[in-house]
Amino acid sequence: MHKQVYAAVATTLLLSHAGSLFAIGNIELNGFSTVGATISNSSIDSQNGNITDDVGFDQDTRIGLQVSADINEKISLTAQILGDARADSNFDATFDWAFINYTFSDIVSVRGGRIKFPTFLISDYFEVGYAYPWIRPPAEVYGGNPINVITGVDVLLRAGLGPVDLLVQPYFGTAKNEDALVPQEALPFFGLSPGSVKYAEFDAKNMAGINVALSNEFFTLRGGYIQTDVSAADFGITSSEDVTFSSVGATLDWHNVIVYSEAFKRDIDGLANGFFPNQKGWYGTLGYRVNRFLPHITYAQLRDDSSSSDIGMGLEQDSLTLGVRYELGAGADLKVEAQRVEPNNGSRGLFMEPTDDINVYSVAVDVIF
Amino acid sequence: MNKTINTIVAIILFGLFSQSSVAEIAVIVDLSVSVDSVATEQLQRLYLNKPARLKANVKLTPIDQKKGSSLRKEFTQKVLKKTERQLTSYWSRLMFSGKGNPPQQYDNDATVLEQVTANPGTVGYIDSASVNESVKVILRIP
Repeated sequence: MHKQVYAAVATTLLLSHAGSLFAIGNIELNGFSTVGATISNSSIDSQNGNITDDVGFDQDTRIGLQVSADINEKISLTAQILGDARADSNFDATFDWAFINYTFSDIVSVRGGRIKFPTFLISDYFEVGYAYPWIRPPAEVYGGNPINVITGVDVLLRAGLGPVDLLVQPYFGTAKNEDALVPQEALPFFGLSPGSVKYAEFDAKNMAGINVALSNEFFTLRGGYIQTDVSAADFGITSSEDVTFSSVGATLDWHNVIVYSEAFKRDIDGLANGFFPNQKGWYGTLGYRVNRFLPHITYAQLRDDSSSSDIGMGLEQDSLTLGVRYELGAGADLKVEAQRVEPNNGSRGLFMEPTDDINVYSVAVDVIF
Repeated sequence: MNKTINTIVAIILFGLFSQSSVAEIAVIVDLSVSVDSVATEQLQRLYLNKPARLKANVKLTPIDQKKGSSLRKEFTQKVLKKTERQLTSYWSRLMFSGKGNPPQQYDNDATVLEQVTANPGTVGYIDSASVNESVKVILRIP
């Protein structure tokens, strides 16, 4: 995307070509990376174990490489490989995207393969830190759907409606061996220590969703709905339980004023509700750009939205985040954030155990190339 | 010695002025393309990967000038109504969500001209002083 590629990369890739890091004929290589450090003031870790009271790099550090190739005028292929240390510290690379795109016209295109679907406003570029103001999108909302990639198809329908553009994006697919955090109390037969959490493996079948977005030069307004059947063999949930997901969101970038806001609701039927609670959450972000600086403030809230049949302690929390993004020339930024997280009374929030308020401090550098 | 310094100063000044001077931009296509004019808004949509509402059966593929060049800065500001930084951010969102790649960039007016004539259906922009009879100008941006 830009030519000021970091020296190390540039020297190893002397084939660098205008317009992308690397382009030969119809093949293009682009990428993004974030290097970030976090520390908290509490001995109680975040649920994924990556935010602790020691300086850690596992939460935000990652690199992505994207290859795209035009096969012919109508067909193109895109693959994105992501290496991160979030789930385990091995920095294993996985395919986040791998699809074939068929362009019927500039109004209709169909993609099939491994697709990152848009549960939220920035779900499909969640890993590209350079593309949004925070170091990480608010966990109170973005953690609400533990699945972000399906194997399946989607359709991109675009239409210009006078001053605004409409995108209608239906998708359908499946996701296997996904991980979601489950409170220990919901898993008595595992003999876990009180207050802890465990990753539970589950499958999602017949996932059907739709994303509708209206946008113009300075705003985007979107809504989405997903329905899927979830099963988790580890917990004896072999029949598929209905899960639905609704979300709305808006973003504005107007005269240096930046606004992001989203809300969601997750409903789970039957037995699975004992393991994965119903939830609702929202956040609002306000920022104001001053030259290369973008100071911003975010308030976010996550609540259980459950029936009395629920087992387990809530995962409720509120958080307030103050941050600054600084542009390091086109294609790179530096971000600093301080976050106050308040697990709701008696709930563990998104931490390992119930705790008092926790402060999290983070710094990150994002690049795209 | 003095002469050398004067020459260097002159070159630097020339460089500075030629960088900052505002050129008229000519938007060009191959002579065989059946479009004779394009609106700024259509061009903006074309360069931002949005349906451009061109006349039926016309498909234009945009190409770009080199990032950081004064012509690209001017084009980005006047036609795309963005700063280069905003444009980089815009493309990062589209590209990494698999919704499209930015137009290919070329080093200078000569290579843009070459691409436009070699690949009918390609639309590019150059300094209007570089226009020759091998291409058709479909929009002039003062």
